[in-house]
Amino acid sequence: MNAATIALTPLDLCIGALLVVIAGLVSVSMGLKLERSLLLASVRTVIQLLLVGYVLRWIFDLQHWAGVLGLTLFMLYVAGRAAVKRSGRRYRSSIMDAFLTLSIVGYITLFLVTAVIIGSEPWYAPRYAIPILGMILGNSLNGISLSLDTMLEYFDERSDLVDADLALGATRWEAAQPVLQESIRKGMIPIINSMMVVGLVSLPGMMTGQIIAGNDPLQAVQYQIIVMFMIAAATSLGCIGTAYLGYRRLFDECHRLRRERITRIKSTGYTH
Amino acid sequence: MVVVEAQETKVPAHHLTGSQLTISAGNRPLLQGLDFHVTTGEIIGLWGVSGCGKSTLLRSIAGLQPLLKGSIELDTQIPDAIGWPTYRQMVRYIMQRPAFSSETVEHHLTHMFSFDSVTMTYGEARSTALSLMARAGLSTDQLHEKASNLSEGEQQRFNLIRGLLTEPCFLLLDEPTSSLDPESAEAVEAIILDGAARDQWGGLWVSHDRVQLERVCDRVIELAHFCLGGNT
Repeated sequence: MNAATIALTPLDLCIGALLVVIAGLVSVSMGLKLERSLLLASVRTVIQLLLVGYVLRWIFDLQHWAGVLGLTLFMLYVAGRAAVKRSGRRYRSSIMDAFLTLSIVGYITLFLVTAVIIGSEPWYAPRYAIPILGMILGNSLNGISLSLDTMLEYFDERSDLVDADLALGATRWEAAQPVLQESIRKGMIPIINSMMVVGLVSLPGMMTGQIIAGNDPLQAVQYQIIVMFMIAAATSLGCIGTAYLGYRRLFDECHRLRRERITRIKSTGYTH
Repeated sequence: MVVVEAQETKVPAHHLTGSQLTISAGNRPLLQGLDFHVTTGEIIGLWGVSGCGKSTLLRSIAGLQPLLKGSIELDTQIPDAIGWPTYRQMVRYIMQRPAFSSETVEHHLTHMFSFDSVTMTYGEARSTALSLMARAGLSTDQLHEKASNLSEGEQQRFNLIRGLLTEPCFLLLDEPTSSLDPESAEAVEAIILDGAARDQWGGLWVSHDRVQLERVCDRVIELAHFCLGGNT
């Protein structure tokens, strides 16, 4: 970006580590017994981010589509797993379905943003493609897992209502449609809420980053507007894809709900 | 057999046949090798103790869960050929404890008419609905109540009536009077038997109450003969 950025030295990082020590002291003095977790979390933060830094630098230097493809596929897989893990229930191919949905939605949105709007050359240029895909995934994930959770919970807990419609001669689509609609709606609420308050409650990470990197705040704002719209698009498409694929897996050709295909998983406590 | 009185519009008889049905709950087989044959005008009783798989059997015949073995034919056609939604219009499964959302009773009544497999409109069925409701002791004021607020007995009667509106030719009745007081039970029995006497429908009537089945059915099949043991 601009030369205005002040480079950090290893010494700066060591001083930064003192900030975590403060958190550790709080834990000790209050008897929270979080010291070990905090230490582990800090070490993981350092290692993971350094690793990401090196991988990114390597792929930026590589300037080859294969590098971008490999890394983005990995990101998509991790995001797919996370989407399923955050919901309280799953079905057999739910990770695969989430990966598929995220891939299609992710690449389409990415292409629209980098090729059509930003106009980076080539459209998959890693400097744009990777952070933008990261933002798409990181932000649409929440909505998608909410959608998935809503849908599976309903089909599991209220299968009697679905069965009642089917017994009255509803097709599987007619019986599932209100549920799918509600789950897509649930999944889209978070992004709409954050669009409502963006900039008022907190400054988005990317915008903050651009400002620190010395860019004109108005320039940063324009990017952020595109990012919000892009996340909204990705979330809505992601929720639709998730609901549709789930519907295809949970109903069979005989127009019946196969509730036994849903299994409960221990919630990791991200949502709810 | 019920003797059919001269009717202006005599519906041609339909047949519902189940052959060598084996059903299960999860992986546990419940009933094995069950055959039945019912025509319009007939009510056949399926008698069994609770937990022997009576409800599962009706659910399976309605195709809401897979049969482990065996086949079902409606007028020599399998449901796959008829199309399951259409089949379920003709073979109406009446649940013992029907599920209702918090929408109004009227919504539940009209919603069904938006389904592709329903050929008539609510307008055409409305007068039948109101007269059946009166017969079953339900008031029209209840149309505007939340369906989930109705008592169990009211829900059971309402569900039956709704199921009859689209002119099914068979009823799969799962303990249809289980939540009813004697008076409403009698009214419901009469509604079902009248339709059968007029050849509007035939039925499979599941119950644990042998006395009732002997009273309302043409034949009674004892499910114990097909039971694979193991109670729920």
